[in-house]
Amino acid sequence: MLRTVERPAMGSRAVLSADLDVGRINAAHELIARAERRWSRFLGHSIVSTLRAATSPVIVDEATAAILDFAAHGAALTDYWFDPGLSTTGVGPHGHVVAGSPLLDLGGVAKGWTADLVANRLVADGATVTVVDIGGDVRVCSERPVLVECEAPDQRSQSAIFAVRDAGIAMSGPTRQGSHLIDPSSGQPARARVALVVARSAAGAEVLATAAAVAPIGEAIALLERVGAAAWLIEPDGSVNVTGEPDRFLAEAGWLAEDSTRAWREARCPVS
Amino acid sequence: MGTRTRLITTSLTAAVTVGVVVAMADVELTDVDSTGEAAGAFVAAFRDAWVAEQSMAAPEPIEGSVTEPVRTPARLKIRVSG
Repeated sequence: MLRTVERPAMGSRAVLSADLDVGRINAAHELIARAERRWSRFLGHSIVSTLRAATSPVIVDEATAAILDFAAHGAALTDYWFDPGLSTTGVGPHGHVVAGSPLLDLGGVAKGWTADLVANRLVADGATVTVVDIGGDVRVCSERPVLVECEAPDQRSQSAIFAVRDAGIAMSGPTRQGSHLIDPSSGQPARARVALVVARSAAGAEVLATAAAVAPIGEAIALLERVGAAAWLIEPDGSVNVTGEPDRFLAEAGWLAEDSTRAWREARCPVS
Repeated sequence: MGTRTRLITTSLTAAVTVGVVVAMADVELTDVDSTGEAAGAFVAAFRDAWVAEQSMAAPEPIEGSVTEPVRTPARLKIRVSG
């Protein structure tokens, strides 16, 4: 029997569904809470806050070293269009060492990474169906097909529906309320496109979606093709580019259907 | 690339590590251990650059028609919070 437990987490909501008892799902929620205490830049005692304030290199635990390594790999793979603000990191005689990083922000990648981590934990606990949604970053690990609703960026058009078994999905870009993305080349709010990515992990999808939302279109397509990701890139002017045949993962196109997106693009696109 | 911060992943020199500050006092050890244990092989694998890149590739699509799908409250959307 599939059970769902929803809690506030990471400045948003975490929705965990699995065919496990509620106790195990609640234990997975505790994992999210621990991740937030460790990697939130909004909590003064978190490791990220410590690194942001540090004037000397800091030794970090293995889990933090791992997410920082992943973020560094993601930055390099995207030619730093995904930029978590991480300074020098490496292995010293007493463990993994990270230099003070005043601009460090794991924000979205921490959500994706934690979604992957929690899904991995629930599968290890015996789940055959696991769906983790942390603030809109989704990870599915399931023996049966799972349908995931994808809300239109205008929050009004008909949702798209994905059908996946083992995938991470993330979407980045402007909303009706504006853009929260920063252009790494200028440090200013980005004039972003909507980037919707289907990958093998939620963390990977998040890194790619963030980078592809702000990079010049040619670079965005190149980096997505380089790693073999499936993605939609929807420009403020309404043009759409895709990589990796993303329609393979759609059960219902909804706002992603060509005839639907035209109306959405022309009348409701949040950036003009 | 303008003022974009460049990241360099490399081993730090001994000279740099002399200034190491152990700043874990504010984090409970049980907290660290439990997350680390749960991370397990997942964490170890994803530290590898090749594995990280592979995790960004498209997954295998579902072959044939989708029968008896699972529906959950999960809702993919543009993230607006930090």
